[in-house]
Amino acid sequence: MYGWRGKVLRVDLTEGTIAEEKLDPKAAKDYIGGRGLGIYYMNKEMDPKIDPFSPENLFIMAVGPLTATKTPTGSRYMIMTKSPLTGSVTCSNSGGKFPKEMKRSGFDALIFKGSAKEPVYLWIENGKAELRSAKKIWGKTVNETTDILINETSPKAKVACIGPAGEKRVLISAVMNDKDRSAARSGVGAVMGSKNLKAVVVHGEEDIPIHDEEKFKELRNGALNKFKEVSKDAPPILRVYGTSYAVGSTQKIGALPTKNFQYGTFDNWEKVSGQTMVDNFLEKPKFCADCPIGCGRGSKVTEPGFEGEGEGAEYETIYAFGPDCMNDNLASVLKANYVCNELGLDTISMGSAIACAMELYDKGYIPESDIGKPLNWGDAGAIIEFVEKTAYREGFGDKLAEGSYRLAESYGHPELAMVSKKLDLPGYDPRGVQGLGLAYATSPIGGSHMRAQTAYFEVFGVPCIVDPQKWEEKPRLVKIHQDMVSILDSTGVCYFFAIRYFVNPVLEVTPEGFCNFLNAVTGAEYTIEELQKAGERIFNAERQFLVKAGLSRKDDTLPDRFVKEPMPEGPAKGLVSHLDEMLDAYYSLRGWDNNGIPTKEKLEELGLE
Amino acid sequence: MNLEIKLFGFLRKYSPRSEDAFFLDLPDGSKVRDIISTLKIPDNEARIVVINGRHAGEDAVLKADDEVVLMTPIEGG
Repeated sequence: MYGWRGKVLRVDLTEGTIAEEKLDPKAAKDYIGGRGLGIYYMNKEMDPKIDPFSPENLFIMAVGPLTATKTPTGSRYMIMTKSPLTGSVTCSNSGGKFPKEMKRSGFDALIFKGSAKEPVYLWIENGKAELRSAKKIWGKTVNETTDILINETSPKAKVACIGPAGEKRVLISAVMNDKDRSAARSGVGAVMGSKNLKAVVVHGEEDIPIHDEEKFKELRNGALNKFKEVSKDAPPILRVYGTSYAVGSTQKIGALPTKNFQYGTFDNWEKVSGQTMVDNFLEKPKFCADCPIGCGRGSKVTEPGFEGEGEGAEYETIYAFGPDCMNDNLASVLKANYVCNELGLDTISMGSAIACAMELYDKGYIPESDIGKPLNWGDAGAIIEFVEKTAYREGFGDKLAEGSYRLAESYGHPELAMVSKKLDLPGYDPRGVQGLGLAYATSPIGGSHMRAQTAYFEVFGVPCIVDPQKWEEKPRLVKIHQDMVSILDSTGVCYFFAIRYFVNPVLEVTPEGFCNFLNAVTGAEYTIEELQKAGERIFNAERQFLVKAGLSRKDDTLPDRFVKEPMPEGPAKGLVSHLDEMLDAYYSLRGWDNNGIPTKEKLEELGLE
Repeated sequence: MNLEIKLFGFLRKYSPRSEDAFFLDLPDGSKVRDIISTLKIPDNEARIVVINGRHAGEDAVLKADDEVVLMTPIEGG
């Protein structure tokens, strides 16, 4: 096979056995790779009703056919499993260097089942895999673990691992790779921890065979030249600011989540803006493998009490630990970021859980004795302290570790958790950005903007602005973008490059660029229609899984704050989310019934049972 | 009429002052494109426009005391 390695690795952690298995070429074409491959195996082999911490839960790491081919930004992988936070399927995406190395080490996917009796890690070198004891590193931080394992295996190895948070099954724990890249959402770290799997370490020297080298070179150079053309007068804006730039963008349209999403503007936004980050804390941009953009932030804080350095901060981290907690101290936001990376936590869900706790405390629903101290809005020191306590499930951290929804529910006020399907929402208020509200509610993994980042056109003007306050056109656009992202997530490249160079840069985002690259690399001869159908198939396959797990329209929700309480101030004042109306139109476009269940006709059309 | 202007991202370099937020006095009935030409922002400098919290085009007519933000188009995470 070209592009694909043509094999997956089966690891039975209970038995301690490893086996190679051929990748069915039809499955490869129908599901592409990455996220698609993950749901293919999950649907084929799992009972969606199982407990996510049971040995029967599959834990899949999957790369795409374009990963490691030197396609620009071709170093992305997906972790797919059933989430202990949401009870739904989850796909958690990460970049860096590990995905490229994993592909070069020989496999399209690593499929773990069972649970090891004692901590282990998987080491793969040029196609040869073995399980090794991780007893000596159990309990160690992400940085310590990474350094030790590289030392134990190869200086060229790349590491994906959990920190103490995943080991303690914190429901908002992440799987980190290359120390500071994060497959963060939905508690994937906890699933890995429940399997006693501390890390996956890979090294590979095998180039990926390309079907049509000439055509691929032409496409690759074409994309890179277009990129250089756009960046000829100045480095790309993402390299200058990273995603932190978005603080100003959301503030100015009144959709910057503030005080646990009570408001859409933050008076001191400039103290936590992208400009402030660049001016005070940025050391250098950082690049994933084969990426020309460099959106990563190498940063450093010297402010006493918050000293540290590492990767950060993205926009999402800033919103969650900053305005959402009424915290205008950017140094503390960065410190919180560094601690999350070290201990293996999702920065969005962590910041959001603290913001939720602050509101519960503010309203008198949590007694101070439960927390151990006051937890007031804007208390930067408390934020850092509770991030650490969450990772180790210490004191009140044990409650935060369950995520904002279970925390709020335990105090009788689940409506104060800003979540969808119990996954914390990203940094755009659904009242101010209507389409994204629908995207959150219908994302298979719960509150995520990464299954259809409609903010591209609702907030940032890529390819053009579509009024974020209007909802009527959004069901159609959300559906189109979800299907496109299903393709993207399955090919193994990055959103930031794909949205400008792998799709037709129009609102309808036809995947022409993907089609050309996939065909040049794999020789699979996709037509545009086949590729679009594959995207729709992957999205519906995930819907099948979550429906069988017991989810439906009743879970495609947003908190009452958005659908019932008009935005109290700012440019979005007076607005509520029109989720219900959008859902009706969206289900109809999807070919699902009014309960959000795919019809038999739709499933047959896509070759799903 | 008095207008409050803010420049984000790459547009900051077109500020007539050292700050990226300043006031501009333009004739009544001026449009966004008049701000752009006053600040000498070239055609090929990509930008989106937000007036008082709402996206707008460059033909939008301005009122006294409007806040006009010009920002480089960029994605958030």
